[in-house]
Amino acid sequence: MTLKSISKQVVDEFIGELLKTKFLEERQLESLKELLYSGIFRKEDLVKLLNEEEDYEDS
Amino acid sequence: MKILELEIENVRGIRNRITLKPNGENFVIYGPNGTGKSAVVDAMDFLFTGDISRLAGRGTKGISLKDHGPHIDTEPKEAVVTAKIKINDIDKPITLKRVMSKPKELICSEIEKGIIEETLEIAEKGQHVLSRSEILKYIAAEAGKRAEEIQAILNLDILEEIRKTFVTIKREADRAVQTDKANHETSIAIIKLSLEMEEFSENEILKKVNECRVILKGELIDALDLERLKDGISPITKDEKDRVDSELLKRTLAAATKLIHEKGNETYEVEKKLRQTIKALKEDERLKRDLAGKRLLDLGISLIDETGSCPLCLTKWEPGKLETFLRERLLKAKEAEEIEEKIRKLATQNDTEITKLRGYINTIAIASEKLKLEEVKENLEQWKERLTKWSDNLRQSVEDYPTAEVRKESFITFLADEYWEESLRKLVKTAEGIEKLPPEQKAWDALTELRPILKRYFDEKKKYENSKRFAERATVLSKTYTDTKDRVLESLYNSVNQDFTLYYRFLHGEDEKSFYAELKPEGSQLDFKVDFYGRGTHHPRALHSEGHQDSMGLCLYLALNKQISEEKVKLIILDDVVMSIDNNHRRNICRLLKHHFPQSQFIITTHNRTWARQLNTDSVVKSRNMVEFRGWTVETGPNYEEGKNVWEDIQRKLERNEIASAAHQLREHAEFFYENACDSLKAEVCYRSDGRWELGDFLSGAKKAYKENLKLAKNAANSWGKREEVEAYTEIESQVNEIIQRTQMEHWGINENIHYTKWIDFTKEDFLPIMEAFQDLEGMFKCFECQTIISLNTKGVTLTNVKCPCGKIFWNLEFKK
Repeated sequence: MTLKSISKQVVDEFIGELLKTKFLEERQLESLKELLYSGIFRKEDLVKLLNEEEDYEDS
Repeated sequence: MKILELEIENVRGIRNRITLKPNGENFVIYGPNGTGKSAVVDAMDFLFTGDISRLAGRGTKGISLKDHGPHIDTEPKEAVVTAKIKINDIDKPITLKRVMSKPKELICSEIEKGIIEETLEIAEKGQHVLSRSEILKYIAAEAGKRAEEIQAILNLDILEEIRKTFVTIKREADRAVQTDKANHETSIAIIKLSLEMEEFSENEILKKVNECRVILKGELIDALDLERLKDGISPITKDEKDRVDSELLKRTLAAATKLIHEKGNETYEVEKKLRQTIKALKEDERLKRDLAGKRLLDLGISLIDETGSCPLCLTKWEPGKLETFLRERLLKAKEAEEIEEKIRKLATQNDTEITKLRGYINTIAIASEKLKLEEVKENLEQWKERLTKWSDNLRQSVEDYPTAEVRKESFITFLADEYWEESLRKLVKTAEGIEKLPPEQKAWDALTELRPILKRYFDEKKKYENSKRFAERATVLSKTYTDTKDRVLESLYNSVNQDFTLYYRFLHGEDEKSFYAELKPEGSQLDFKVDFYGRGTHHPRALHSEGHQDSMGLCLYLALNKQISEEKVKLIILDDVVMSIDNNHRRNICRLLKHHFPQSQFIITTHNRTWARQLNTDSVVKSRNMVEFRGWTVETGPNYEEGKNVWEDIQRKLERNEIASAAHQLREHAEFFYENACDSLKAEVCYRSDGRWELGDFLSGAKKAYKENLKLAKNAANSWGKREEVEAYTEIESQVNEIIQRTQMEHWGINENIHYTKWIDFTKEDFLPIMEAFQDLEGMFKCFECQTIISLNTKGVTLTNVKCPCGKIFWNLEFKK
């Protein structure tokens, strides 16, 4: 957990908004939250996460 | 986190070792410029961050921590900072140490590291230090730069990083959708051609498949399954690989011709526009460089120092001009980004048509091979290769894309291939000669050929759907994140603005009682405007004096600090921040710090002796926490004296029989003290147009105000029938009268008109009663507990009470009605 509280607040509210839309699954939102909380992420990590559903379905 | 003890060895101007003991309380280091005060700030900066911010950033080329962090005569391994710190709820102090030879390594026990991890994470950002040059960053900066500075101080850079990442993902996803769409449409076009379909749908394909199956006496199938196309049908021929369906060939030839003729003009117009746009971008050298060097521009702006010179070649620019120039180029880079987007759209439009044409050519080339038309096949393959290359160029960078103007005729030739007409004739003729196939064979061949193109269709369809879904997600994520970030930041800035306004009004009192400010995020910028005496809001530098601007910077920093500290780092270091602020407002700063930040630890450096004393008089800093840096040499570092108490100092002078010096110090101190006492008690002081008030003016004003308020408090207590209070006031009255009498008797002793030589005849015994009388009198004006001067409070014109900040002294002045 390396984000300051304001940054954390943005991440929390962002995830909350996405949760309402049901656009992503809860497990994806959890992973997304953790990734953003860490403060260290690469674009590729986010792309992989957003593509996860397809991988999941395929497997 | 607060500092209990600080030990600095060989850092910057400090030679050998100095030890300061703030004991978790406010601390002030004062003295003239060049005595090593800022070296203490640098040492704290180094301890918490592993760096010295003053040695980095703008205008510090050639300066490094390794070479310029340690004292000039010492090695990095000899430059050490050690501190005992106190963490909020933990009793045991924690010792932190850092050596300049290993600046990244903070030395403390593993257990302690775990305890202070979160606190250090905030502290190591180094945002708890405020110097005057930083104050101006918030006030003087342009809106875009201010947003960056404030986001940096609030450590919000990560929010912008996340936003940029989402935007990049979205942009790349949009591009992928365009490419996948082109491939998907091509696969549809080929199926339509192959199955002779007017309108495309999977049901229509299924219908066509079942029509073939009926001809081949097979049962109908209910779904498009690659493995079931020929399910249950007996092969009617052994080898169909060299056979050509003349009808399909004719249709493909017709489709390719139609595309070349119908889409040729449109493709030409798009190509023309595309080349013109790329050419314009390439020819505008500045635009091209700005696009390529956007990052360099950002870095360049951040490196310009106060002289305004170029950080790269050191060319002199008028202050501000280079930054304005570079910002204009950044705007150009934005324009270049928009042009790049336009190029991408035009390129995708042509790519879609070329990909489709390539698909037709491929089908025709395969038929040519089967028909043994080698030359035609060769030409078609070369054409296809050229189209593939063209398509690749359209999908890649604009750098290598040709920009030469093309004539319509030659473009159509390029699109259609110079041998096309001839090949077409040959193919049509050959197709006419192909024996018409019986319906069963035709149906069988159709199903055979359908399998690979249907597979491609399914693959392309899935890819396109996935990329569409991904792009949709990327769009929602990017928009939701940006909206959330903006909303949270707006609320944060509102809160900062409220605190800022509160502090600024507090600092300027009646003068600015209706002051208000606007701190509004506008896109990536942060607009900051302040009220000018009810005459609308303006840029903070537009109308306010330099002193007002400095006080705005300080108030804005303190408002921001509430967000920085997260209740963990209670340490605020103010490095000479009151330079342009006048005496009265400096006093109000003391009150602001005391009133609004009672839980914080301020470490203050100042060259202003008066402010240092005000901090002490107003009980912001205790006498023992005042260190005077008196002088400095490169060999010895600062010459300093700590924990000076004026009365102990005078006493010491008397012990050494330095009577003249003791008298001078007492007079100077009393003048300062009673000026503040008059201010606190709103005392009347005889007006002097030259502003040169003397001790006598302040002393009589303060004594008169004290006695009048005491009398008023006694009468008020009487009106409420509070006998005990009346008796207490009577006792104070008698004490103060006795002390005042003594000071009047001894006042001559500190008369400034007495010539220095007369003191030669004085002894310690002669001067001691004078000192005691003034010490006792001062004690009457101060609270014994909080050591602060009592002050008179009013409601409008009504006197309400006299009290000290801790409330131990409280004289009610309101009468029973």
